[in-house]
Amino acid sequence: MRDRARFLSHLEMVDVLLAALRRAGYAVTLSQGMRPKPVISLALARGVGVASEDEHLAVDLVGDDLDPAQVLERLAATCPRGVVPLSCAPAGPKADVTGASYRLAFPAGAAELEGACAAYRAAPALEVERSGPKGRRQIDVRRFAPDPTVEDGAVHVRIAILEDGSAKPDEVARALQQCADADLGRVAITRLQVHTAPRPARVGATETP
Amino acid sequence: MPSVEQHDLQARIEDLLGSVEKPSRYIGGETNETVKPDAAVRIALAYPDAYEVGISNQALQILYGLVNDRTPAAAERVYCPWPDMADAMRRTGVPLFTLETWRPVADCDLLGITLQAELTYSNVLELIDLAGIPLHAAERGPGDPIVLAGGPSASNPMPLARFVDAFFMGEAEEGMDRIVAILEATPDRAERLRRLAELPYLYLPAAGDLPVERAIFRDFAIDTAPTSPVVPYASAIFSRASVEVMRGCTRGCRFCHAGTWYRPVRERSVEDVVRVGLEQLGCTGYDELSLTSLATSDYTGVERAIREIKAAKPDLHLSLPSNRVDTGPVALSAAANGRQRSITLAPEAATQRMRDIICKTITDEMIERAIDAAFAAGYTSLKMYFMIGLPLETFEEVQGIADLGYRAREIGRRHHGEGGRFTVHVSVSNFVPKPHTPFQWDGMAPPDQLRVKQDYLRRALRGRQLKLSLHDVRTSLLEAAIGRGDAITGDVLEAAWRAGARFDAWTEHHREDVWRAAFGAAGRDLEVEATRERGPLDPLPWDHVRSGVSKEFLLDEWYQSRAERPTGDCRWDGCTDCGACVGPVRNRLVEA
Repeated sequence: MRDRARFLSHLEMVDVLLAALRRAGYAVTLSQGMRPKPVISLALARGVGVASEDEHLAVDLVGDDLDPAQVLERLAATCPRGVVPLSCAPAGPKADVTGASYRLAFPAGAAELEGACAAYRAAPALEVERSGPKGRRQIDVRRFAPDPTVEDGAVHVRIAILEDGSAKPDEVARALQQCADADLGRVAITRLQVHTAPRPARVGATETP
Repeated sequence: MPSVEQHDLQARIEDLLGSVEKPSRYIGGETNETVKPDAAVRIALAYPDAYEVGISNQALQILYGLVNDRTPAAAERVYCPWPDMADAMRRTGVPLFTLETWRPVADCDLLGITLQAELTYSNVLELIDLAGIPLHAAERGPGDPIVLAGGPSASNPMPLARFVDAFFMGEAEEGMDRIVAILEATPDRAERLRRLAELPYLYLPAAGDLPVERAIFRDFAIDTAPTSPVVPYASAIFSRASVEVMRGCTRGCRFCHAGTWYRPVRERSVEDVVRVGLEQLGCTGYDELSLTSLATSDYTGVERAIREIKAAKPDLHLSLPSNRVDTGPVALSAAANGRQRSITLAPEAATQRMRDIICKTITDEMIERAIDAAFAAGYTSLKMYFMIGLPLETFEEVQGIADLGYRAREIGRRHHGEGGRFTVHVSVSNFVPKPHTPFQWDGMAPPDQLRVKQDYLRRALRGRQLKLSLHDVRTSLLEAAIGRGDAITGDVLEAAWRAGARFDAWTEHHREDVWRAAFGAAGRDLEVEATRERGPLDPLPWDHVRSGVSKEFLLDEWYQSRAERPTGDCRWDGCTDCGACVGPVRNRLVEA
């Protein structure tokens, strides 16, 4: 998701992809129940304004023997500007999202960024404020993103999703700014990779044939 | 390759988008967007309201396709930035930009603004100012774009006459290519204006109040409908494919502006409707198709169109807005979309007397039959539209609305049971007199009177399965005061906008105090202007705008309303001599 398309919200993106699939000639399976909804999910909601090189879309398409290469080709032709499908494969076993890696590009020079990252890593905890519908609270971003480094002039950081939540990349950027000696400037964030792990079998669950 | 300035502007816009609400309003790039970066003539097409409202407007989509597909010019879109964005743009010096190329609107050859509602007029000033174009037409010079306004509300151009260089009267499909040709022929602004003034459907206030004729799109019936509209992002109020099956309506409802302004009736062929509908579905990815017009159940090809579309796409969500209140149209809606659980009927008035006054030629029996048919077809939500404050209204009419609400509930209970899960939604708006209608001489009812009637309805219409919604009297009042305004209304508009008025149709932004002060500063009173009655011999500010329907016809209709006599529909009851048909321009039906 590049250029201006990064300003689409998560829900807008899902809608854009559904329409693109319909234009490509595919019908999306509807869920059961009183209010059927298309069976589609876009993993790990992305903040508005965050670009992305790696998004995971899982969708249940109507039809048998769909050719992944053809789905990819058709979808590439119907996605709007800035939305580029990269690969397509039949759904594998269920996986959990465990985190994501980001590039935080600041206007500041590499030396300043190195300094900020070193101070960040050395800090025992780094709290930033998160405000949401439930009010404001402090988040220790270091717990989720302990190890920012500088590569190719930008900060690279992996943010984990733990049982009690996660940090947002802009929060990590703010924490880095707290650790910096000078103004790092406005950050441009790109999600580089979504990390997943096979979903562990539930204790006591039985395999169905 | 963008220039350094363009690149700089784009970077500054991106900076702003990080901190405003719904940045997708400003990014463009939607499916079916057209970008013509090298076009010699650039036209910015603006809707003076938020993206989600403007992108849903069919008229602007038609014009966008027309300019981009059929002329060498580039049409790019602009919507009114939400106040947070507008404030940020002013703070950082970012000028109004088009969605397609993020280039300044001020660099375009023409800024075309569609006027669909009077409550968007403060946003017209906001758009011009944000673009960095001088607010008054008289102050503009060679480097400024021509500001052109069109759309139904342009039929009384006077309130905006000071701010707009030229008004397009009527249906733009008829003249847009000629306007583009003039822009192409000469880069000189004064010469362009001089040549535009020669077009009979353009009104240039600077040239004086010369007669101007409404353009009628003669080839509507044979011209193909637009096939690839821009697909909005999720936030749009309407997100569906739509084919305009018919233009114009000759039912003759005496309050209705569109009923005059789009005469005569022209129907598209069923073949075209079906083909375009299916094509649109394919290239937009929508799962809903709407057959639009002022009254789709009057379209003589409607049954065949539904049948053929459903044959091609059995599961399609097909909707028919604006239907006549009768059993036939209810059955049509049910046939078009079996999944839909709600239906809307618009009796407009609840008593036979009032329907005769407004020329809504339906009977109590037809209304009851339609309600019965709706519940019998399985609908569980019935919405009925009414108006209060109509001319000659008595309390009987207001009581009648409550009575009809209860009657509908009774019918609903017959089908769904006493405690059944269904809703009768009674929606009541306030009558606002419009120019070019038989009621143009009437005033709006005094607001105190409307509030008493609304209070009465609140008390009278309550209970299980009933829902009442009432239109805000404040916004109706403003709509009435501006809609029939004159050049002095332009002073009011400017004063209100300077004091912070914008997005007046949005309750959270409506500033009644600002408007009252602005009317006061111009030596006027908001309520007096809204409720002003005019005599048949009084000059009207829009007298120089010729809709094609004669003033004599409108006046005769006004007299007929006082005699409580409806007039027939010329499609079936013989010519009413309204004046709209001239030469080849006449009603054109698919199945006569």
